[in-house]
Amino acid sequence: MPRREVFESELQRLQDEMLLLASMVDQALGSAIEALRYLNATEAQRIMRADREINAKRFAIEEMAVTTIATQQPMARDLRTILAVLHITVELERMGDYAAGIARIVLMHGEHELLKPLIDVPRMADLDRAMLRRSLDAFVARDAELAKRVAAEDDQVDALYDQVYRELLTYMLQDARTIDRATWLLWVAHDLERIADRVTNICERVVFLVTGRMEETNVSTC
Amino acid sequence: MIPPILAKMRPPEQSPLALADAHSLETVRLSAGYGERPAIRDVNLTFRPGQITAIIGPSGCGKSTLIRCVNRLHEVTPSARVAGQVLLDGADVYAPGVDPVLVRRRIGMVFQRPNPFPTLSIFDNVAAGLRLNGIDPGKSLPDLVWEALDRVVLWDEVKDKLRQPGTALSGGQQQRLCIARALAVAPEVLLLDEPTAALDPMATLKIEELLRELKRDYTVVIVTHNMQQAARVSDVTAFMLAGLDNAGVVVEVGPTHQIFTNPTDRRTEEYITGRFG
Repeated sequence: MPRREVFESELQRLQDEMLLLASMVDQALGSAIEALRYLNATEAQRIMRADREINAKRFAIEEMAVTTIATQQPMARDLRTILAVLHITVELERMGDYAAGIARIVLMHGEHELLKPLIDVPRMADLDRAMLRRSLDAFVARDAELAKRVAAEDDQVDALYDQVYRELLTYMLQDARTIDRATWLLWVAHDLERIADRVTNICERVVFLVTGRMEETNVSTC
Repeated sequence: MIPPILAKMRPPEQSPLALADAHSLETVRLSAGYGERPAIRDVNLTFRPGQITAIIGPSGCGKSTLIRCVNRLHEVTPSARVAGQVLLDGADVYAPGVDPVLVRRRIGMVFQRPNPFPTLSIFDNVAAGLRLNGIDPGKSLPDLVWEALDRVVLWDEVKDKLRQPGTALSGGQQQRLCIARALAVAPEVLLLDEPTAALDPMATLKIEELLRELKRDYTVVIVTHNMQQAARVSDVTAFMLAGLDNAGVVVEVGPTHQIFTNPTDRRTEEYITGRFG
């Protein structure tokens, strides 16, 4: 089967750059949680600066995608691939923003200690990162069923968020002096819950890439 | 008794019946070839009014043969043969007693290279078919010529030079003139075989814009090598491919947006993504 070498090379590079962006986001998220665990302000500032590189990478990928569409006129699966890369890139960049947001919360603590040792928050982050990695595995393998299974794991993150919310609410109700620190942790948990939602969006794009159909992969039951 | 639809294909003086409004066109197990060489096999396609149907496929897959069979132009080639049916509003254009000349009036054709009659003026190019086929007694020849030229958005460009030769026009204008000539005799279907292959991009876009207008009133079928054109202009796309016996078959047909974003057949995907040899 004849190949379009230039086009296929561009298509592969586009996907590779997206996977590189995903790796950057994954690292940022992991580093942000560790910075929060130890309230490491220096590391938090580094994570916030590094978010600029994530943003720059997103724009570079978009530009590459637009150029490929304009110059190569992709159709069918090729077109769906490029569109999936575009959408996933935006989701990844937003996840990077959440990681930077968690780093900002480290700085907001200033001289304060954490309200409580982190237990569920790191668990949420670990689930997020595992979901992200597996959603991209599904993308690389063009596996729609895997994508749907990964999307379903969002329920576990949502359940943890509910748990964290109730626990922090208890702190706030018992002692008004904890409101600030409880709220900061609640924001972190909310960011992590939103990251999982973004991963389900990635999974929807993988399903679309493989099947050509737009499907919601994990509809909320509440 | 001759079925009414066939009566419409006789000279006007023999058919007082009014023409039907809906003009669907259908091929039923249409096969054709030249001598021993098959060109198309068992083609079943429906071309609906109000739509543009594009036929795409690699060179030699039988696209042009197919549309030449539809308006009985195929049979003027020596050794040409055809089997199956072409139904215009349900009546077979190949039925005994049907005049092929009148079929070609009802199913007009525009070719790749603009072919205005070289010895005739712009006016006479459009009027030629009307003079041959008879004019509606309620209208004058100049009115009908104006209508046709206006329909193809050419009137303003040629109204002051109607007596000039048709060949004095630019390529794009000549092609619009040919479309006007086909429209002047009030066809029900318009077939276009690579109508913009010889035109520059601006002229191409004008023709495409014209086709979008014309589909409101005609059943339009376009054969094109240009996939981007098929994607831009058509509502339905049929992909053809030559089989092992070199006869073209329809591999897949569907809404254009679906063919170009999510084709069902792997061969269609390979062709439209440029990976077909």
